[in-house]
Formats: sequence, C-alpha cells, structure tokens
Amino acid sequence: MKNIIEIQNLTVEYKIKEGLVHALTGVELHIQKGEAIAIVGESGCGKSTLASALINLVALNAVKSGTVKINDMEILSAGKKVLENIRGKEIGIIFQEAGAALNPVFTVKEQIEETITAHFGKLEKPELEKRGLALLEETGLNDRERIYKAYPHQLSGGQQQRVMIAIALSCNPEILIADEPTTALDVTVQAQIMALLKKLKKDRNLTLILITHDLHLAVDMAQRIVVMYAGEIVEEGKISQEKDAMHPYSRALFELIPDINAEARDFKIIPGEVPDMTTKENKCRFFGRCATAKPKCGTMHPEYEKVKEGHAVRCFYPVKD
Amino acid sequence: MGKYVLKRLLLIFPVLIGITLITFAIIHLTPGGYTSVNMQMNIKVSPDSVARLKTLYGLDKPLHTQYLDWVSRVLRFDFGTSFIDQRPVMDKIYERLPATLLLNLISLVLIFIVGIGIGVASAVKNGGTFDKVMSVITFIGYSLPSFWLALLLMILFGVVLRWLPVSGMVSLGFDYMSPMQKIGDLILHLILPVFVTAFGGLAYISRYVKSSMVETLSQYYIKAAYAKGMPEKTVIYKSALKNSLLPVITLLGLSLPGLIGGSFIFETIFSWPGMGRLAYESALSFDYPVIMGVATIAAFLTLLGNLIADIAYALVDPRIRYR
Ligand SMILES: Nc1ncnc2c1ncn2[C@@H]1O[C@H](COP(=O)(O)OP(=O)(O)OP(=O)(O)O)[C@@H](O)[C@H]1O
Ligand SMILES: [Mg+2]
Repeated sequence: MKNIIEIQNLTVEYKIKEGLVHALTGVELHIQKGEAIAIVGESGCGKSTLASALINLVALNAVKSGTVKINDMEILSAGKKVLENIRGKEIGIIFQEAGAALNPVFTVKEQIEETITAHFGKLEKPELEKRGLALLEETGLNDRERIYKAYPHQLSGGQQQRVMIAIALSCNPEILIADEPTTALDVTVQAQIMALLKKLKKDRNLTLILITHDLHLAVDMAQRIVVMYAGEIVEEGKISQEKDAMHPYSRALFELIPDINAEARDFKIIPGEVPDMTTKENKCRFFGRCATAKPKCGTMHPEYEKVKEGHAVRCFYPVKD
Repeated sequence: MGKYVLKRLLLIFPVLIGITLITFAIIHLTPGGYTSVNMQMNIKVSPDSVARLKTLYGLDKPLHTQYLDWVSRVLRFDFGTSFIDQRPVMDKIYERLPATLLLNLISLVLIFIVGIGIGVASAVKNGGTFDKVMSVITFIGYSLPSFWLALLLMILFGVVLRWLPVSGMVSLGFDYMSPMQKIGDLILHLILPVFVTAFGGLAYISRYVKSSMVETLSQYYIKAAYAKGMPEKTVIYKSALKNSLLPVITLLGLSLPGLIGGSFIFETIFSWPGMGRLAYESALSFDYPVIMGVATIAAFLTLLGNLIADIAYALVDPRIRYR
C-alpha cells in the first residue's frame, strides 16, 4: 500500500525566553492511505504540534527540521500557494475546541462557504448552499436550515463540533486529522461524535488521524496506535488491548483510564510528572516515572527500535507477557 | 432592539439634566459675572442700573429658581437671547453649527480611515519598520500638547512658508469666487485645523486598532482559518478584520467628547467660526444663555453620537442582543 503521509526525523522546537521547548524530537511516522491511526499521549507531549506540522502551521516561534511528505509533496519547505492547496483540500483538521476554532462573528453558512470558495472558486449561490446543507446532513445535524444561518455562539458544543467537522470535510480531503475532538464535550455527546467520525471514515474512505489522551478510545477507533511521550514516539503498532502494548508508558496509559460506567471517576494518575520539555538529558524520558526502570535507563537514551513486523518501541526493556 | 433604542433615548434626558446642572453651577460660581464684567468696571454705570439689569435678566433670583426658569424655557425650545447682542441663542448656535460639524466630521472620518489603515498595517507586520516608525510618530502624537502643535504649524505653514491660511474658514474675497475656487479656498483653510484636530485621535485609534488586531490574529479561529486553506489576505482582511474592528465602533462614540472639547481650543486658535469659538467668546463675557445653549447642544450631540455608535455595534456584532 502507498504511504499517503511520510514523516522523517521531524523535530519542532519552540523558542521561548527560557530556551527551547523540544515539542517534537526525531519523529518518524508513515501512514497508509485509508488507514485509521491514533496518536496517544498525556497533555503537553506534542500531539497538537504534530498535527500542526502536518499542514506546516506551527506557531511563528517554532523551529522545524526534517521532512513531512503528503502524497510525495514536501510540506515543511513548501511555498504559500502549495500549502493553501493542501490545507483544507487534502487535509482537513478538526481542532481541540470547536467553540474557539469557529469565528464568532461569521455565520456557519459563511464559514463553510468561504472554505469551498477558497478551493473551488466562486460557485453559484444555490450550489454553494446545497453543498453546505448536504455537509450538515452528513455530519448528522437536524434543524439544518436554522443552524446554517446561525452564529457559533447560538449552537451547543456538540453542534459546534459537527459544524467544525462539516467545514473540515467541505473540500473532500483524503486525510482527516481530529485533534482531541471530544475533550470539551460531555460523555454522551463524545460517544456520538466518535460514532460519527467512524461512519465518515468508512463512507468517505478517509485516512484518519485521531489525536487523544484516551487510549481506550484510540483502540476503539484505530487499527494502529502511536504512543507519544515528551515529544517522542515511544511505541507504535497494532495495539488492541493492554497486553499488546510493550512500552511501560503505554501500559500505564491503559491503566490510567477509568471505566466510563464506574461510579467514582477517580483517575489513576501515573505517578510523577512529564519531564521539563526544555531540557534534553541523556536518559529515557520516562525514567523517574517508570515502574520497571533499571539503572541503564537513567544513563542512556533508548533508540526507537523495531521489535517485530509493524511494531516499534523506544525502550531498553520492552514488556513482553 | 427597538425597546433598547427607546430606553437609551429616554436615558439621554437624565444625563442632559446632569450636564446642564453642572454647567449652570460652574458658570454661576465662577468669580465675576455678567454684570461685573460689563458694568461694574464702568464708572458711568450707576449701581442702580446694575440692579435693574439684574432684575431684567432674572439674575437677582436664587440660583435654583434661575435654573428651573431656564429648564422650563428650554422645554419650550426657547434658549433665550444673548446678553451681548440680544439675538436668540438658537440663531447664534445655528449659524455656527455647520462650521463645527464640517471640521469635526472631516476629522472623525480621517481619524478612523487613516487610523484603521495604520493600525492594521502595523499589526500585520508587527515589529517591522513601518510599525516602529508609526510607534514613534504616535508616541509624539500622544505627548505633544496639540495647541502647541497648532501654533507651531501656523508659524511654519502660515508665516514662514506662507502656503496655508492660518485663520478663518474662507478668504476675504470668497463671495466673488467661482464655485471651484470656493471649494479650493475652503479646503486650504481646512487643512491645518483638521490636521491638528485629528492628530491626537489618530495616534490613539491607530494604536488601539493595532493591539486589537494583534490580539485577534493570535486567536484560535485564525489558525483554524489558515488550516482551511484560506489565502492570507482573506484571513487578515476578512476573518480577522471584522473581529478587531468591532470594539473600534464604540470608540467612535467615545471620541466625540474629545473632539468637541478640542473644538473650543482649536476654533479659537484658528479663528474658526464654529460653536467652540462661540462658547469661548460667551464664556469671556459671561453670556450665560449662550454658554448654556452651546453646552446643551454639545452634550446632546455627544449623547446622540454615543447612542448611534452603540446601536451600530449591536447591529454588527452578532453576540450582542439587547432586550
Ligand atoms: N507556541 C508555543 N510556544 C512555546 N511552547 C509551546 C507552544 N505551543 C506549544 N508549546 C509547548 O510544546 C509542548 C507540546 O505542546 P502540544 O500543544 O503539542 O501538546 P499536546 O500534546 O497537544 O497537549 P494537549 O493534550 O494538552 O493538547 C508543550 O510543552 C507546550 O507547552
Ligand atoms: Mg493538543
């Protein structure tokens, strides 16, 4: 199968007063057309930075190196015109908070139609409106006539996220990136949005990149899981249950998530904190929080190595049981 | 919306009462007074005639009675007559209003069009050369006393270079000019007063627009707009501009009092035949009815301007809906 996305040695650092934030370090990732993958990791480990790098839209204070290829087109060195063509048309992206990602002073109609116009030129008004309403229908919205003419603040969180999805899909991209699409929503709406994404993935044969900190959700949606920790990929492979995971961090993530049905929603937090992202010490980034760490882990930085076909881990002592 | 407008219109009245009350109190508490300036200094005027004049103008009554008398007349749209030339106050204001409106409206339009242009350009290239140059100029704009700037420009362009007229609204031979010459003459006379009136406001608005635009450009929805593949120009001049200009509409209303206040000074400096100069002249001669008339009209225009700005804001910002 052909790789639709190829990321090689991608490094992104944010310049700040205190130095450099190593948001992504040496990221390698290949994604095939039509695949559904999930990128999982705790807050601040670089997931959104990775999503932004895929469309070369990282913050202005970022220094980036490496290559990102979409359909064999290099993105990181691409010019404005090329990027404008790729963004929205080849890659649609749904942001963490739909409420903040929708422009508050334009209607849903304007925000959908301006996207279509940006890529397909000016269409006849009825044609534009027909496409817009069809998108709202596809994203499962009722009361479409009203929502189409509404401003973002007049919609519920779930409706806003569906509109965001409609915008992301308005120019029929092959790739859809969903960056924590449900974090801002309550549990029932979360489930609906996830079901919708699943359906859209199938109907449109999308290449789906789901970004989440919920490993259970990831396992449910994706065939392949990429686990990130402190700006690095630490594990990648077909993981569908806890014992498929080989990195101690991935294991810990599995234990982290509480049963949705459980009465008390007390998260079992992994002890310790994500390391300071401005320093790069010569040791495993997870050292200090890892329950199975050995002395070597504190003196050397583990390489990212293939352990079996389609499965790679960044750990000296991958868990195998 | 209709209800809101009505409520705001009704609110104008208490504010007007407050303003006129304060103006009234201040001019009557000021040492001196109409009779002292115009008569007591004059040895030919007997104390008797001073008293008679006071009675004639009702200046011998207690202050609150005088104020209530004034209010009851104003309610019948009668602002009284000038003490100085006995002409109706309304007539005097009416002939001065156009000059003031002309000067201030041109300044206002200039302030907003040029100010928004400078602000947006500075924000788009934040920290660039243009932005830096503009920062310096606007800093000067803030800090220079504008009356001083006015005098300086008058000396430079009027006296030294002799390019521009420095006083009045038209030249002496205006009545004999062709229509085109008339317009040209008016424009020449407008240049300095408009520039001086607009300068401070321009500095303020352009900095405000800049910071508002910079703030908007950092919003999440701007990133989202780029992520949709919208061209940079569309993102800046459509997605961002509307958001950052909304608060500027309110400034439009807020800048009116400053303009009117400025009129008093600049119209006097440039001998501009407007309401500001009328007020200044009346204040010097304690012409109470005219002062009160000008204050009331100026306050009314300011409040009306504020109301219009607020309504405009409500109309363009979808998030605001008044009940
Ligand atoms: N513009 C920026 N300037 C400086 N540091 C930044 C910037 N954007 C992100 N960072 C830092 O880079 C790191 C990675 O951020 P990123 O947003 O990619 O994390 P994330 O995995 O998406 O987290 P979350 O789950 O909370 O969304 C964090 O430490 C963050 O503080
Ligand atoms: Mg994120």
